[in-house]
Amino acid sequence: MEEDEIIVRRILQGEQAAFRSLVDIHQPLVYHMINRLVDHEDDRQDVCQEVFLKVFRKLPSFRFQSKLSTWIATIAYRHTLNHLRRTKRAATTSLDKVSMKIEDHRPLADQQIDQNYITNQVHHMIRQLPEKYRIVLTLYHLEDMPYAEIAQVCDMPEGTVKNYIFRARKLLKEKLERIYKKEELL
Amino acid sequence: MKELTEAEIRKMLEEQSDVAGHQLDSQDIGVYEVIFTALNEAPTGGLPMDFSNRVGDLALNNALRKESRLKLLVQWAVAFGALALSALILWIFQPGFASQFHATWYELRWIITFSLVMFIGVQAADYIFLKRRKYRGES
Repeated sequence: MEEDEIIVRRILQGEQAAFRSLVDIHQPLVYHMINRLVDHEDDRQDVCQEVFLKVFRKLPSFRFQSKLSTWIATIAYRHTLNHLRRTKRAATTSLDKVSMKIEDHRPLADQQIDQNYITNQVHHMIRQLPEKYRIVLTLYHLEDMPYAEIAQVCDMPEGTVKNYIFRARKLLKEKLERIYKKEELL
Repeated sequence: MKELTEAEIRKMLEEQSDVAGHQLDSQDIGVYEVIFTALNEAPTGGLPMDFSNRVGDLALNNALRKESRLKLLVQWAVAFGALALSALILWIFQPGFASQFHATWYELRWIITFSLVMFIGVQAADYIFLKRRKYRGES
């Protein structure tokens, strides 16, 4: 928290290098979130840029009531959702009736099942999940964010976060088991 | 990438056991291990090396532009204020000349209104298009 305070104060004093280091520190978090939500690769960089410009504009209103990373993630999440709404590319899948329409790209019988191949398939399956599932999975697994912070970012109760993480993983498991036998994955 | 042991996976899954409410066998854990490995791996691709420099420059330019726009606004406000003040002084000390001056302005009211509306319209359009372009670094 102290480091956050120092960097924010330096930026507010007009130190441009401090803003650059803020971008350097938080760009993996923002990029991971955007990468999982925005399907079009060309748009990802633009959205990242817009998020950081918004962070710069809103920084004077940051009151240190949460961690800087949580605040930035909240901005990134809301901005990305607005972007998806604007470009009408948002996943319209209902959370109650989630069905993943992934083609079963199973390797040929004589090919050995390669771990990287499966990992890529899981990544592809994640992209088919509803956006709320994708974001909670990303924040929990890639960013090691605690449930309370994820709840803050996504503006939902902690119980819902846990539920979404569980349901998302279960969906991935079911899909994977439809393509491979359990023994093949061990 | 984080390497997870079976015990760690089991622990993470049990955290949501109140929601899950079902038992997992070792084969299930194996499938989850595959999923966890993929989930813990960062997606491919990334931002360019000079991303922070570019965003930093853009943020500074935007701030400067905003500042200069504010300055321009203040200049216009001062100019209009001075004009109103001089009209008031003229009206107090030279009422005859002021009414003649007023009549001339009144005759030109449509031209003045049109010019003002056009000026504001062009400025607004320029601002809107500039705002669209600036995020793509074309400004």
